[in-house]
Amino acid sequence: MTLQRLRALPLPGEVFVNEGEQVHPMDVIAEASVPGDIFMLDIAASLGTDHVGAKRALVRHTGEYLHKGDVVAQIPGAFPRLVRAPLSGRFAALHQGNVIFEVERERIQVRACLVGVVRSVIPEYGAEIETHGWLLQGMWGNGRNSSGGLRLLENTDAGALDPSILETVEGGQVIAVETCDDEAVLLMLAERNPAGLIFGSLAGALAPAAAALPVPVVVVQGFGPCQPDSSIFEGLQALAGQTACLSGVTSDSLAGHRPEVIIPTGEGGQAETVGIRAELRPGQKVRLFSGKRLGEIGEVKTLPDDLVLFESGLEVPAAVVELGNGEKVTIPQQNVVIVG
Amino acid sequence: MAVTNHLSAILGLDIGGINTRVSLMGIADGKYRVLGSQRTATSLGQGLHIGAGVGEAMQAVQQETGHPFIKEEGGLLQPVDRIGRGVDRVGMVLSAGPRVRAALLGLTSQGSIKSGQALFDSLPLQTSENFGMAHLANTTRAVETLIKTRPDILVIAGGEDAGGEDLTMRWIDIVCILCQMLPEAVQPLVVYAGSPGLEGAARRWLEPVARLQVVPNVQPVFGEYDLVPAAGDLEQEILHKWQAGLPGLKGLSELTHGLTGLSARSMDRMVRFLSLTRGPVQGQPGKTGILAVDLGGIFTTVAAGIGGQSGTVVDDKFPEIGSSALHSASLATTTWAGEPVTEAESERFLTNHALIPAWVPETGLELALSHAFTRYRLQQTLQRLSEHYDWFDFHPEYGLKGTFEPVIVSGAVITGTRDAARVMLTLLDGLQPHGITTLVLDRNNILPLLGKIGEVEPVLPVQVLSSSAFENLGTVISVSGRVPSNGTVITVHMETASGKKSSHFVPSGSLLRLAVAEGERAELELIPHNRVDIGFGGPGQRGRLRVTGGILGVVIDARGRPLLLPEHTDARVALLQTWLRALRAEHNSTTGV
Repeated sequence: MTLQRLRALPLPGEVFVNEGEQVHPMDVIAEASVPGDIFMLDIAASLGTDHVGAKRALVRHTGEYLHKGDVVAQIPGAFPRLVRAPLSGRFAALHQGNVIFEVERERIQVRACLVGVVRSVIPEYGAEIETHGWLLQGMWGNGRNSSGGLRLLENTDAGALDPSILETVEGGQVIAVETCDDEAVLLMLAERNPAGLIFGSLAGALAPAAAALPVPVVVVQGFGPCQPDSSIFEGLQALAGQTACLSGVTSDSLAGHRPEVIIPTGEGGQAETVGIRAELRPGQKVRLFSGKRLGEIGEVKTLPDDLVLFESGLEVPAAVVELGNGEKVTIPQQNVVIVG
Repeated sequence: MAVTNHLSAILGLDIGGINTRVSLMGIADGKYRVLGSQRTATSLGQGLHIGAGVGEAMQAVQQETGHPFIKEEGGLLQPVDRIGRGVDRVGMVLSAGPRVRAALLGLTSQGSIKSGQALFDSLPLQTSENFGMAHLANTTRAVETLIKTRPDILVIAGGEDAGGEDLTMRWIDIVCILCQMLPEAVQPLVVYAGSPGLEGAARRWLEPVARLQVVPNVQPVFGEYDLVPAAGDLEQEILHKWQAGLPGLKGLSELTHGLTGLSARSMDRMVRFLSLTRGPVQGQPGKTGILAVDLGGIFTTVAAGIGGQSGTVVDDKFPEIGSSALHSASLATTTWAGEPVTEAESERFLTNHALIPAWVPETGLELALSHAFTRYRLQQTLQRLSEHYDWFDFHPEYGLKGTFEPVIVSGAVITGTRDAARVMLTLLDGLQPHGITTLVLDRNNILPLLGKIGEVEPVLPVQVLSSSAFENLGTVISVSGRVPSNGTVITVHMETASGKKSSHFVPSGSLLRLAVAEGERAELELIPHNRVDIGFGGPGQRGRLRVTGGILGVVIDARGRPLLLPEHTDARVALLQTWLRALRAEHNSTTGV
């Protein structure tokens, strides 16, 4: 599958890549900076003068970089009075007799989070990256990005994870697990310093802990008990050991953002956009989010022209979906998520 | 004689986070009416254009009404031509954008911070923290924190009209430093809404370094708010941000020639206007207010007005996944479900629903959970409004005090539910009104549009409000006070316009639905128990009431306040189902003798 993803800063900055350039997940695409720590030096008080006197006494100008000890202001005379910079920084502003130094700037970076090629550059903001890969879109992410070698951990028949397997997790790996409902297991996994965690489903009660983890987390099917989706883990199994790029962005239906896992395969294919609000069409693979088959995957067979009356009393547009076992179910179109 | 040129056809666009509605308003039988209204999914998201959904709904309205207003080559026929085609104006209200980052700089938590917070809560703004007097102790730290917060909007409040200027001046100083430090691309809009004595200083210091708006003090006198002017400026800034971020919105805004606003602000305007026109409800002493509730796909908005003052709160529909608020919501959903569900099931329902805001209930159980959560949404937002305004008194434990009549409700979760009894029970449990009120359904979410279009055609809202665009769900008479645990708490003698007479002896703890056909008039004589208040001026006060039947006729809520739900699941579920059954069964002959 050919995928294009935008990597852009929230404010103007400098773009470090050019069209056609190959990028890797940790490559910085663009960077901007905003003031960080500041320091205020009251030169009016130091010189024993007022605001106007302080302004007259300045010997440096706004925008200049000053080193610790540089003279900032002075009143000449037989006994000149001097004010020196107490630390290094940029002379950002003069306000009411105070010189404001910008001691540090906070850098805001946007990284590629993909292996791909720069398709186009957006001046001052970033670039659009194109990649060929296997895409897995999730339902929830904790807002972090990373990449690493993919490894799958199997749940036991009871759905738990064997602690001895946890001990084999190496730092820098992206770990995929069908399900987790034990906070201790989640935290033990995080302690192994993986590059990221992919869960088929996660117990709802673990959401706060997952949100707080320093590593990216992507939940694919949703919260609470879900029947594991074999197609997800069969797909992942076939790509084990390859680099998985996790974009754990928070789901945003207004912007159409979804957390996702992209595993670059280097193969071409037709460009495709898959989003929460993409148009539903027969033949698409969808996940069901209501009714007795909640969490299951199926293929859209038809989209009836007429509204369908559901048990809830709501009459809404529906989709007829064929599940893996051949069973056909009718579900409100709003309650399916396109997964492929 | 002055000739008034009224607009003959107006197109209203309401773009919500989930649904887009297009309504055509025009003159029928000499009055403004909603001629047609259609809904489509809001076309927002990756690669989508907001105009696509609007265009689809416009086509459907044109087809529904037979009134042509779309040019063959696209675009709108404007104004209405000699043969009546086209529309004169387009009005648009929006609730479809993300919250805009803002910071409030004030002084005390009970003064300027409180009034500023009321202002912020009335709009889709996002704040990480409020900055009060304590932050003034360290200017450097305050500037650094504000830089890190990177707000799009900064509001300086503080100081009353009579003074309190020294500390507010410190905020002006800090903002002046901040704006000199920030790159132009992230410069916030600065709104000065503090003591008028510092307006000159604010202009002198801030105009050279910032985009500044000076508005009247949000708190001219301690405890009194004047939020409307500041809210107007913030509304424009939010719309500006949304237009920059939502593909297609700018083009749609241009169609309206400035008649674009936020849904919440337009709702606020309407309830403020309507509250000016309200006299006391028959027999009920004191001022009568108006309450409007929109249970939208992204936000819950509540606007209340009384005697020309208004207050609005825009709340997120869903608590953050994993937050303690989500846990509280799960608990409340379990409590109100009327079905035996566990807290874990409720939490799973809420977290998955939050992941897909457009989700609709498919099964009966999902509908019950959805309505249970709606009760929680109502209570949370009403309580928040109550925290801001002394004249609005709501608490989940005792309900909505005072007289708010009517209560106008919109939102697909309510207007899309066919079972009117379930809708009524959800609203009664969520609002827990006292005294007499009428619940009105705004199926096409017209109210905010009326607020916006009323700016150019003031007569339109008045005439549309009295039309069938608003559906009377039913008049509700609620008892409160020390309701006896058994026996009759209210006796109702009813005579309908068709001459049917009946008497009803309503037992404590019950709900009773009286059969008055939709639109039929009836006169009620209400005789409460001597310890019970039905809003006629105190316990035991009786009175007569003329009503017009709604979808559910007239409902007597004799459950008292607070509503007491059994802790045991089976008993609680049974009680909620009893109440639902009671609202499904109507009574047109004498009952409970």
